[in-house]
Amino acid sequence: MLFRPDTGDLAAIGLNLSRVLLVVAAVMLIPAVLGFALGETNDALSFVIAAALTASVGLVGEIILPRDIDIDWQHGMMVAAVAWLVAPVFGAVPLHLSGHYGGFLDAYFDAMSGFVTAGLAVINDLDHLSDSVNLWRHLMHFLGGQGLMLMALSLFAGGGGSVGMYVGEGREDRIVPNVQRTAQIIWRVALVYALIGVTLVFIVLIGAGVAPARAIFHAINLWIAAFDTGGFAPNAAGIWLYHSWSVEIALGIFMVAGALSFALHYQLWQRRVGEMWRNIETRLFALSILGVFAVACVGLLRAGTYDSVNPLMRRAFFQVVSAHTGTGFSNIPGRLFVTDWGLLAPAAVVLAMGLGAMAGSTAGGIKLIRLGLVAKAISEQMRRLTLPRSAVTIQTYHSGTRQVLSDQVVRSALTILLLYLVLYLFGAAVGLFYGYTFDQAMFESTSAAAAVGLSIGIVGPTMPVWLKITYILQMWIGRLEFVAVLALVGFIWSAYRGRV
Amino acid sequence: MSPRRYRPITTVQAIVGTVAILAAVAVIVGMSQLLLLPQTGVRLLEAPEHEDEGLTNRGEVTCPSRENLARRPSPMPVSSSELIECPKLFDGEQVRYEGEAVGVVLLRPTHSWVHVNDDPYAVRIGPVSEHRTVAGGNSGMAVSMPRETAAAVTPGAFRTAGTGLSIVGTFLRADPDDGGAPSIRATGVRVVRDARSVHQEISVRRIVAAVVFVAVAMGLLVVRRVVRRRSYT
Repeated sequence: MLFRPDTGDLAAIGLNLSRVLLVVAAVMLIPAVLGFALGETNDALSFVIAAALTASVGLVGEIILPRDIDIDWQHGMMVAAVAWLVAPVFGAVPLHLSGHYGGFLDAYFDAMSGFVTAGLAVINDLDHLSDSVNLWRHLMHFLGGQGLMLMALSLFAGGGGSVGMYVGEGREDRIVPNVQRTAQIIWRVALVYALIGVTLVFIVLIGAGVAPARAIFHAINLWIAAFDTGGFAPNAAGIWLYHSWSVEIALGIFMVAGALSFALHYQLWQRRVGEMWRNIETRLFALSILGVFAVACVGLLRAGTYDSVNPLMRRAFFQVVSAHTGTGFSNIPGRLFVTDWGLLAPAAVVLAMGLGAMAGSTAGGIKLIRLGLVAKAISEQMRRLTLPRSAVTIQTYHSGTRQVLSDQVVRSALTILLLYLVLYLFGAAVGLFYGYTFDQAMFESTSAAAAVGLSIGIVGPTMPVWLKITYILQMWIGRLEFVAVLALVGFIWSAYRGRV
Repeated sequence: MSPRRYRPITTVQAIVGTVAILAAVAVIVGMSQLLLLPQTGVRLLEAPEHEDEGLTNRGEVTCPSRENLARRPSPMPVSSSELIECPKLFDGEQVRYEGEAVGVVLLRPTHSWVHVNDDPYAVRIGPVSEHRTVAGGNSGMAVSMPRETAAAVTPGAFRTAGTGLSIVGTFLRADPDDGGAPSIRATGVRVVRDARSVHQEISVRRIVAAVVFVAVAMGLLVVRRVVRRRSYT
């Protein structure tokens, strides 16, 4: 029996949503300052307008809504689900005002893609975009990658519902018992990586021949997109622009770092390096990258794409790592997946995108922990078949600590895994409806739902409107890993049909 | 759920709330539309010799047959879309390619890299930042050229329409010297259009809107502070 929510529930959700908007508004001031400094006055003004508008909405919520309501887990879930829909509305305003979009829906598409760290884009003439708007595209990656809820939780005490907000945006690992403290640790780790990452990428860009003034701007944006597994790049050519293996290796390191869970980062931070090898997910991640890379190599050899080892290794490995970590950087033009890579190699890329990386990271997709748990459950089932009926078996796995594999955990992993497969197929079906071939529709659909950002050319400014809406929904649902979305649907249903 | 001093929302309230949210989004979209800079009209640039497809060369590209290709003049004029859609067909061919330098010029000791776009912004209508008319995404090709030639190139950016270049060279589908990425190895580069600055008028409407919105936000900030202070006392 569903109970109808009361005004107190709405107030609790609204208040926390307001706080998320205040955070978004504050971050908008960074590109505003850059815009004024570089003389990009119109775009700087658009950031001031968007920041003031976003802050005003947030402040109205803070003023009129009562602050004495303890939020619970369900409220937290609602906040997560709604915030990831609402923040891109405000984030889209400066994008739309830049004049590079065909309409507000297109700007919203890119804002959603930015926040969910997908990296798919429908922008027109990116190569003549102002630096301030370009920085905002990447800052949305940073906000979304680190977590909108996490950002709000770092600054405001969330109460009991903090866990709901935290889990609602697809995070499962609480590093320390207090969610607010966990949020602060995640920020600290990210800032250390930022310092090291921007410096390293800056050095390799200088080595690649980029002028220092441009190198620093590109380094900041590229590091954000790599570490937050985003995939936006400052130019339309992406990583192909740099013609540098050292740039690709540097970005590869941070793509992989971004694809590791923050709990694992914390373990490394605590000098518990052994966790890297014991953790079921890191083992699977390494095995999966190598396996998919091998398949991609076979596919490229069969297609006759490359005739020597160096290009084969460099292009295939970078694309596989980019896909598997959910980043979406590309060091070749995306259309080559269709016109020069044959069928098997792009299929391997789709597989990598669909699987994703570690739970609790910024990557999307099914996540390897779920795959590992299901595989363990299957092996457990097979083992039971060979033992007497009365035998009692226990299956364990290592993720942070040694844990017993329970039926509930397996059921949960299997449910999410199946929901992802349905989501991938749903987007592909819509693509088929618009006349694309299954392989191309599946590639783009998986890229959107797993928040990767690689594209074979379907996603673009001239894409049909309903396909844009489909991909927006896929990106949103995929980023929240279904739970918060299902909770939101239940909440809306109960608001209309629940028992008073 | 919260303590029961709050009333359950009624169906009417739920409907009104939903409509109010949709209306708020519509207001934001409408406001954003109002504050867009006006389109200034497009002044067509002189088209490259091989360009005969109007404003865009990014539609469906059908790979030409070998016979049709043989009828093209040598070096054969190509677009980036053709090179990417039909890489094996053009692999190793002498091509003539024209467009605008964009992004960054990578000056290396032996040779340099310049990314050259041949999309509508590059060859027909100029940057969006100039006229706010959109015509699709960017499309281009990497070009390897001598360092001294690249040093004279200004890449296109927000306030710059980059140097227009006409390039003659060999297209390589998987350039071994670039780790397998497609590129044109230039044997001849000619500047066909100098880089130029793009000017943007500052929008008075945006200044006014910014002042109003900031004033509202500051006012609300003060109100919030007062409300908080009262609630503490």
